[in-house]
Amino acid sequence: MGSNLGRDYRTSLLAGVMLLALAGCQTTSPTTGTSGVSYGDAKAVETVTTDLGSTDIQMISEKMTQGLIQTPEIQTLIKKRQLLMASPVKNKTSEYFDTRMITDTILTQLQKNGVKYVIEGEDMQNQTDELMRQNQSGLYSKSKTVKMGKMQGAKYRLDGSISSIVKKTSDLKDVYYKMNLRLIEIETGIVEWSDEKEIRKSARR
Amino acid sequence: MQVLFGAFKPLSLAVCFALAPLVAAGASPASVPVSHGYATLTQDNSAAIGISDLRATRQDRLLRVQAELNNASATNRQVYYRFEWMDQQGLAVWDDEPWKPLIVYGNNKQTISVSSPSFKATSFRLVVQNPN
Repeated sequence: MGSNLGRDYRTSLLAGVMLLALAGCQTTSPTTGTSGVSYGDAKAVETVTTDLGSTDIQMISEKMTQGLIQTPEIQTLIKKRQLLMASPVKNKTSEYFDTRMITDTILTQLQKNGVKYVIEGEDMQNQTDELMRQNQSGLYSKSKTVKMGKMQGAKYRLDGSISSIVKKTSDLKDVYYKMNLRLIEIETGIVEWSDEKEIRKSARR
Repeated sequence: MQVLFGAFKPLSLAVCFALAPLVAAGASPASVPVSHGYATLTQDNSAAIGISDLRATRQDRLLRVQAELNNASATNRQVYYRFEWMDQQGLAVWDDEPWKPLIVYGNNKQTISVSSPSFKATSFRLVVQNPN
């Protein structure tokens, strides 16, 4: 009888400890939700389809940045605090994707090295809107208003395109991408630097 | 994971040349007596992939690195690599690079040639994964 009580006591104690341990596991994990969603490595090689993907964008941007910061023009631009801008990269592939992902990454990486760049395109509308608001709306104190006519023009601009060749058979799809980027002196139109990045992706069906 | 190579100040270039034949021969030194970083290679059981040559130099305030991968097997191998860039204190000066795929053809060599993405980089670590 006594030994049965002791065994019951030990079993209850063990169950209690296990419950506490499980409860501990639940409370220490800083996650919520049970939908099966998980986070992955943003730098992992993505091979879901042959379409242009994150790895392609990252590899293209990386190669272009590494090429650009080696050029004497960019090194001089940094020293003299001259300005760079990026024209929209032309998407000549059959896929839709936002080519600004490439130029934005290149500009961000160049800026980490001291390159100063000016905005263009879609961002320019926000810039002019804000200048107008401060100077023409009558809502702002004159002493705290930025001046019109002080924006600065870039000395160089980046321009480029991305193209693809797609080949398909009954059991194979092969895609060849080529990204071309050029550094152009705006005043003269001279292409001071250019580089290419080629990528081949194949998938068996 | 084997620690294969150390990296680099220009001074350590000589050490790299000295170690290149050792690595090519498949030897796996646990560590290399250079102080500013190292390269690592994750091998599969076949140990077919090796780093047969590694060079670095600083030019125009940028670190230029060239690594030669050797495939000792007869079949093509897909490897993945990336660099980590550090300053003199060993602190990372650049975000994580993306892993990059590279095919090394059977019984062949493939060269990786890069320049540091930042003027602050004074040493590097090359990580090669051979998961085949």
